[in-house]
Amino acid sequence: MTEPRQIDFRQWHRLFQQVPDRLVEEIRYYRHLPQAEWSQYLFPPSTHVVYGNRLLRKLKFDNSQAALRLWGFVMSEGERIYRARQAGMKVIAVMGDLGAVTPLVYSFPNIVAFYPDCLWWTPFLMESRELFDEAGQLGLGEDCCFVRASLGAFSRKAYFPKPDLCVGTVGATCDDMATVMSEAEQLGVDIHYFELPHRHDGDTDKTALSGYLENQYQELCRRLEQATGETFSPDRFRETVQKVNRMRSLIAEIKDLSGAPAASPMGAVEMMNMEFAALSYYGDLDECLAVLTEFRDLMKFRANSGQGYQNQDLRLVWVTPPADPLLMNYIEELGGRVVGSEYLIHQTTPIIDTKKDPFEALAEAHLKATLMGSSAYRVNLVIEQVERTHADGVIISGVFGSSHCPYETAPIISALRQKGIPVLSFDVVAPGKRRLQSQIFNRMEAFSESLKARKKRRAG
Amino acid sequence: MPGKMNPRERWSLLLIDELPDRPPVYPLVTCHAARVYNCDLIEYCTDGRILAEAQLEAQRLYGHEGLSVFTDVGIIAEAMGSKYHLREFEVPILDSPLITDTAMIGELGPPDPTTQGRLPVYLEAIDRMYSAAGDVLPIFAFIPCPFTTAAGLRGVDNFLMDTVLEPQAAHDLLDVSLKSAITFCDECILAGALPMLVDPLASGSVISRTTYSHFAKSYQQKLIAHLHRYDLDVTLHICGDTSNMLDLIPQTGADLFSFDLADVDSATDAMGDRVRLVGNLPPHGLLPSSNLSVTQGTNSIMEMGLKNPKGFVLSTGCEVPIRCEAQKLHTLINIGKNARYEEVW
Amino acid sequence: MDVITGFDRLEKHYLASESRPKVGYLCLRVSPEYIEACGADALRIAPRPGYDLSAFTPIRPDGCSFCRSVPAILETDVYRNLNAIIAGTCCDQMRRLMDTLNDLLDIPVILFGAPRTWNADPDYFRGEMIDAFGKIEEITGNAATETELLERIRVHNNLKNSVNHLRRQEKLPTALLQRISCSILPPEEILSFLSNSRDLPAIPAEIRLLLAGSIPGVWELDVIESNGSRVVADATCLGDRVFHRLTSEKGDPVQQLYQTYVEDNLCPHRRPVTSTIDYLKNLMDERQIDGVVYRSVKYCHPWGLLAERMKKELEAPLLIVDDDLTSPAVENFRTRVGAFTEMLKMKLRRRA
Repeated sequence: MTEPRQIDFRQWHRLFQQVPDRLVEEIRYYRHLPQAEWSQYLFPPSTHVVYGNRLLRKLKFDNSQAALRLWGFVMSEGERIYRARQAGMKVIAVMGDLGAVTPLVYSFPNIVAFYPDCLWWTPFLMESRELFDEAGQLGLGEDCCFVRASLGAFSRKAYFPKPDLCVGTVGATCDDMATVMSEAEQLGVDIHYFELPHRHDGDTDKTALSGYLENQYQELCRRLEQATGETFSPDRFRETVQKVNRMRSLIAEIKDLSGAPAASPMGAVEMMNMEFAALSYYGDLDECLAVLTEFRDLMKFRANSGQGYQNQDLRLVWVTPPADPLLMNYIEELGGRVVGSEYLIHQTTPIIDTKKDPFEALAEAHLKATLMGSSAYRVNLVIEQVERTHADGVIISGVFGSSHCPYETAPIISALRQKGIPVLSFDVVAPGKRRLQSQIFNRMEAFSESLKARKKRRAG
Repeated sequence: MPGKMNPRERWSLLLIDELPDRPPVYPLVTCHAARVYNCDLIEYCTDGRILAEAQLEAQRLYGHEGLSVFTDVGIIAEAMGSKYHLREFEVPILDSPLITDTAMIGELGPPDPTTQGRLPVYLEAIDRMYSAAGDVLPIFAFIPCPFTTAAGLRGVDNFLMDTVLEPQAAHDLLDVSLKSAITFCDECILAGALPMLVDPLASGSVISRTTYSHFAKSYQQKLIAHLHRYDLDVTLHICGDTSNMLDLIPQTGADLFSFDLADVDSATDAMGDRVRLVGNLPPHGLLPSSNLSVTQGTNSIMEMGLKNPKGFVLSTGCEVPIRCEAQKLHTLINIGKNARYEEVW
Repeated sequence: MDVITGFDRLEKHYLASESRPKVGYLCLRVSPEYIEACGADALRIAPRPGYDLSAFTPIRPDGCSFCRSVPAILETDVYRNLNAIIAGTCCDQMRRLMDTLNDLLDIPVILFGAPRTWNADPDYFRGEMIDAFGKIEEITGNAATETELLERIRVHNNLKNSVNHLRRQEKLPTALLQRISCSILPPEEILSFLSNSRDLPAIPAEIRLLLAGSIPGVWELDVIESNGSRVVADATCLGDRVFHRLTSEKGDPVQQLYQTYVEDNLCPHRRPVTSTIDYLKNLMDERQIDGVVYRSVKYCHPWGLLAERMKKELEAPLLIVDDDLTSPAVENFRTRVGAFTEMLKMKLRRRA
């Protein structure tokens, strides 16, 4: 295997020549649809550059085939959802729950789920204000978080096909997406609302809450039956959940491997892509498992053999997924490595109990949701990551205008400082605001310098 | 207006077999942009900044849905050593071909696109356009196919003679032209453009169906295969009369076929289930002196094009003439923008 | 002495003399009847004159400016000596504000889950509400009996009827309406005050406005009404919406209170939001509105992000203004509202 390095899209373009034709031919999604000429996805970032993903010209990518496959899989999700529709599959848009309800959706046959919420990355990948401007024309301006891009996408009708069903989780979750839902309704989208009640953290009894969620899942199940014309099958559910559990275990294992003591075995952006597979499996659960398995194998190899990137010694936990992945590259250039994360998707981490009643099991897993309870719960998730990974510092990339960041940031910072963990907190800035972004870069530089000095002091 | 797709979105849907709100409208506005920008063609062909600014200016004026990086079909041949004559008011033409003797072919190698000839002009222009508008507008880099480049290296007459008298030499020259095209395509991709293959010399107006099959098509195929390996959607443009080779076009693997002198219905019959069509108002119709009704011509093309199963792009059959009458081009574009596919949601 | 001053005096007097526990509550998902039945005075937490605009708040500047103001509002005289604070989960920021208050204050901060959707499983959410009020009962040492709950419902219904009647007759100015909705005075006292004030003449209004949006601050209404226009309908969190829904006096009082305050709550954080929009439309028809002042506070998601939709839905001249309770732009507000009412006046004149 080649020595791990982070390379740019130009280097990948040339390196791609060395990828055997056989692999390019073989690596496909929707393998149950033979002869689909469009289903290959092992392509280098330059392909996606040509189609307008301008940020890829600036990003650094891991030089492994496994990482390339992951990138290809992630970047082809948009097309994949359209192809699913063309192949007669049902398309379900899921919003606001970030990975909790998808195991149920995928337990129906011939179905695919996607998260319009994740369109928040599109303006950054394209370095474009188009979707934000579109959302702005519909009433969601800069006082709404970046998920407003998904409203722009609903309006343009060019980013995903018309869903057969939209599932919108509201309640104890981010309010911004609830606003997007409301505006999408105005555009004629029919939404099945999934009520997520507040979770009282601490020692309170969660039985009633769990029971409530069970009912919500049962109701959703009925809506899915209507939308698909299929009856819910507990056997199929179990089969799906076994796969989902395998994926969740893989993700947990890969996250552990990313903290390998010797050197960083993988880039932070790839790790984020990997972690977000848990939401809707990028539209193909089986293939996603294959992608992550190969990725895990590579990580294992690198971690066991002590291979990794050079000069990335500052162990960091990243809190809240950055809409702008370039920030992650930047901290890596400054000697940082992301060894842990809290990306608001803790609900995608529990292993779902296949022995229990399906709805009970789903509800139980859902109870772990990051945003469902108190800020203290999230603070603990962050602290747990810091302690587990022996992090040197924490980066919080906030989202201006979101309903949770204004309240959580101070408690997280305060808890970390009490534990003596340095923390850098900033808000990600929208594409095109170069001056503001350069301020963030400056702060990152200062943060990494202070961490280095601190490490040196401690060592010496 | 909310809900209105941008060109990039429209093209993206077209390329994954989805119907956008309407076909993209993409007349081949190339050197005419220099006239819009009020610069001469020597500046336009030799300065990437000017080329980019002129293209962007023309796009702002007409609102067509793609930027075109193209000066002349000799761009690769010139970078390899042929001499082209740059002219203030017309496109460059071949002055003296590099290969005066087929024995010289063995010494040829692909040019370095970052340093040789005017290839860097293309790259700078693409880079600038991509940075300025790459999120909303696709950028097409017109890359001469091996057959056309070979003709530029050898001289058109000599090369056509070679295909008959020294076919192996012709193939050797085509091989090196192919490598050069690939090298150049790669750089254009890295700068942010989608290669659009142009092969005017492979036109039915110039060569026979047999010559096309033996000497042009297979190199088009190879070049397209290279681009397909990167999952890029390739437009093949052949000017002139292609009616006698329409059935051969799908064999090249082209995803879109931009054509000139053939009717849309025939092209649809020949390849409409596999290839998206790009065409094809006769460019001379845009000249001030032309009596052709742009409205009638465009309406008729659009009516046929909308029916193409694989999708359609309203365009001109070849480059918009340098001295095109702006109003006529506006007419074409407006008709295109008023067309609609049946809304899917 | 004008009616507002009179009301303020009465409240001040009551505050000075009262001896019952005081429970502060946030938003319209809390039943003051229930608090009172637990033996406490119910005091709505809302902006009051004199709160410190520059007070420290641990909430970032992109948080809802009302939520950001609450710690400072709680420092004003009227909120001193609160025994507890209670709220139902309203919008996400209000839910999180309770977390912040829990960290800041030494008194119990009680949050109960409330549904965002309509017709959500009432058993669960009613249970949440009952548990929360159980904590109030523990604090006051007084269980809310069915008899007491029914009595409080009856009295509050009387108040609501009275307020609604006066509002329809346009004898109850909006300024007083807003005072009443966040007053600590028991409904009996307010009813008595209103009955003594019933000889007030109807208030003439050249321009009839609907005020919609987030919780009002302390000066906006004066500015709006300072140039010949009158807010004859108030759909803010302190306006007519507080009184519009009567609670049934039949059946289980807890269930009925749940129905009124939790299930039938008309805040735009509910999904879908159509019921709230319909309520506004009805109010506009009933009160014959000339125009709408749609005022949201900065970063209030339910109201602020709904503004454009409201503009489309309400089909009336509508002014959207964004107000920051921590940094009020009074003159800016005055100019914009002034221009809006001028425009409405010209329109009416043209029509005449």
